[in-house]
Amino acid sequence: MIEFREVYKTYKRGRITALRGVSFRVPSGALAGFLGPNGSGKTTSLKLMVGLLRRDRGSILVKGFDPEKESREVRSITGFLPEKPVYPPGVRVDLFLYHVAKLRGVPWSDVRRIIRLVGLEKYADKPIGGLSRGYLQRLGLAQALLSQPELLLLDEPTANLDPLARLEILELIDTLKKDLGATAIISSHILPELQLVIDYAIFINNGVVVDYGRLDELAAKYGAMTVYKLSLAGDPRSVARDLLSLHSVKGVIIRGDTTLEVHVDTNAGRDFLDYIEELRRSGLVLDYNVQTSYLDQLYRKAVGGEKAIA
Amino acid sequence: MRKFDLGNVLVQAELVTAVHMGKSVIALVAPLTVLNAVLLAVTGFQADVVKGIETLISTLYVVMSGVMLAGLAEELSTGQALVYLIHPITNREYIAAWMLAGPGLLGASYILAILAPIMVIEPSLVFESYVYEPVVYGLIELIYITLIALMASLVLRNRSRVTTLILSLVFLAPIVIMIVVSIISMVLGIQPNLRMFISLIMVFHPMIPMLLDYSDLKIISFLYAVTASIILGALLFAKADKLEV
Repeated sequence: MIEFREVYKTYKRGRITALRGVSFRVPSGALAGFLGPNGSGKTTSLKLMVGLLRRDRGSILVKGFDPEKESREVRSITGFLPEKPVYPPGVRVDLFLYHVAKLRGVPWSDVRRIIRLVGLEKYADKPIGGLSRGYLQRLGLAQALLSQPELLLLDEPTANLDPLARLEILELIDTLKKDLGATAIISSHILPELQLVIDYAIFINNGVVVDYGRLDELAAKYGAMTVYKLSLAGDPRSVARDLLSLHSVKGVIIRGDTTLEVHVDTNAGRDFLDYIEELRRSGLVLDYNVQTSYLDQLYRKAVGGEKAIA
Repeated sequence: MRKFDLGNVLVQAELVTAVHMGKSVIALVAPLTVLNAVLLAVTGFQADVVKGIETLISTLYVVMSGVMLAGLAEELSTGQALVYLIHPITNREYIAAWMLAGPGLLGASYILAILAPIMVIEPSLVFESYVYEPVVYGLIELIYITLIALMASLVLRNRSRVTTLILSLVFLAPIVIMIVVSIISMVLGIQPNLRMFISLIMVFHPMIPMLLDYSDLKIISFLYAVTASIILGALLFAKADKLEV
């Protein structure tokens, strides 16, 4: 779906280098995380994908189109949520979306549907300037989703949002991915939350893509562990013994009377999850959740050091 | 897919008009039309009076147009252009929308502000050369200056700088030209004449030779402004191709 080959990009007549020979691929249907610290080149790469910037060298193909020469073709199959979009503040939400719909050749009924989908009904007839950050982000998603694009590019979709709004946006993205079946790239420097939705990752640091691929393949490659926290109904010692007999469980730490911390080989965690489900049905396990992001581990290992992403 | 979609240009021009010009143009046209009507009614339809009124209106229009079209610089500097260009509209169509909303809409409202009172009071005068000629030249000047404003917006990407530039071209440049030409003439021992000043000032004000009845310069000024506008339009498209947001 997307292919970057040795892409270089500089700003201010070469004084600032944003990308240094970036190469990666994203297959159709992937929900990819574009991960790296601030200033690593994520936004530049996303903008290059739709022809908003011009590369210095290298080649970019988006579904076979060159975004620089065939910007209309690329933009018509792409929905883009910019990192810090600036909308015309005096224009009403619904009229702005209607404008986008006209550019995309989408009927007015679709605008109303998308307003409902992202939860903007209450604000549809209000000026954009009066929206809170959370609702501006919803507007961003609405304009990106009009015409049901084949490719979704979301640049820091949860940035500057409160925890509840972040969770809502991520759930919305997950639902949309399932409903639309589109290819999506989400750029972010907040790894734990992305782990919940992505199945593919591109790690970028200092203008260079250090690795990319399916998450399970990357996890296997770097031997990443996922840490789960289990809340139990009874004595944790017997459950810990049983868990240690599983192939994927690499370590168990008892935390208090009813809590276990379990270190699981991310790539081979199926037997663990099946077993936990069984225990949950039997009532021994009350609840479990991922405590530590293995994406962060993957990123650190891919970059080749202890560099944290945020 | 089509290389250039006029439908997209119209859709975007509609938004540009609503966001950057709608209220300002109405606020400009209404009082100017009334002012024009009052002045014409009070002073009669003498050629000099008509020319004077049209010059006043055209100057106000040129200044306002420059200020309004500096909105493109603002869209580019704030990143607002990005929220349009992520959709299936090409850079050229986006700039063409500004050209349509700017010189197009402002030109139409300029004609309306000048000719509407005359059409109401004395319609037959519209076909008099002293009425329609200043309108044609004023329109050319308006288009020329608005295209300069758009080009400056693309290059400078700063609203206040573009506004300053346009105000300088309209008000400051003629004075500076007169001072510089006078100094050079004194140094060289040449007697400067009005024709020399007019020839230079018409670079920024194509309607000047027409106002001062320099009939031989009128055609040169007309051809210059039209050619320069065509070149500016082509340069705007070329610059749009390299636009980054």
